[in-house]
Amino acid sequence: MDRTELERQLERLHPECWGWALACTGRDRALAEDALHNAYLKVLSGRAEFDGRSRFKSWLFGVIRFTAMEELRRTSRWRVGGSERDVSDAIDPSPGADVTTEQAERNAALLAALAGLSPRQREVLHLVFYHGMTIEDAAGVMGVSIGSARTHYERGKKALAGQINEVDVR
Amino acid sequence: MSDIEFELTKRFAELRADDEASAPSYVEARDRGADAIEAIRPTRRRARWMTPALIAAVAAGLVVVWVARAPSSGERASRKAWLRDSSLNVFRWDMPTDGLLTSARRTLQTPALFGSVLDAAAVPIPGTPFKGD
Repeated sequence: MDRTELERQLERLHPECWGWALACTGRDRALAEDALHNAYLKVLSGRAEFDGRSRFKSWLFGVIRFTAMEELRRTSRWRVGGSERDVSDAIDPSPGADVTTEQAERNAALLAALAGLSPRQREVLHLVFYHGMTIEDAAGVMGVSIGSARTHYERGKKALAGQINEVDVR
Repeated sequence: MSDIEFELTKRFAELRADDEASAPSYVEARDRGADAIEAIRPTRRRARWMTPALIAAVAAGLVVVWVARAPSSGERASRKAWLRDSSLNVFRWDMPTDGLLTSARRTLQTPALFGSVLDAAAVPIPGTPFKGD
């Protein structure tokens, strides 16, 4: 894949990459920007090369995930589930004009519920429901077997539904 | 799709819309990395050909040393001849204790001036004690 084609693909997938970078960094905006920047750098400079064995999006998400982990290690700010932060911090204080308070609250509830899951469960649910990936593709991004991803998906889905209900009731 | 999946899909779609509204542009991310890419490129290009070139140079050096140290055919022949004739030849080497295996009597015996069939017979030498005496 030449540079022009890489740029075209990156630009097309950028909004999704941003969401995934946020998820990989515990919704830390600054870290997500750093991780995304470094991931793009790896791709465009050829340090990470797409070999065509998977879908480009899955491969790119794998690069972003790995880079985000590097960033977290580098800054020693790895948080399990982002639970060390107040969930309200996770919501951007200046959301788009069309985002209502009610939606912001619902997002906060979802993030609070996600924080209660294991990192693997959180990742697979994010990849499937946020990015519309199949469990097979999610397994590829996470670097686990399909069976393992499926188990995390099933358990995470039930746990998340229970947690959302709890938060909603409160 | 189950009710849970439907609900989760809806919730994640809302989160995604929120995230996308606040996402930095792709151009911003790309331009931020452009300088670093240019800085990395020459290093990478050099690194790509440096490794094979280094391996080839080492291999060539080894071949040159081997050729320089290899003996000529005349030298090889003389070395073989020396080994064949040398006392160092293991096939011609005698153990220093071989003499102990010869009977003491025969060792000390005065060689006969004229050979005789009786030479093999044990003849007591005067003044020499025999083991049986």
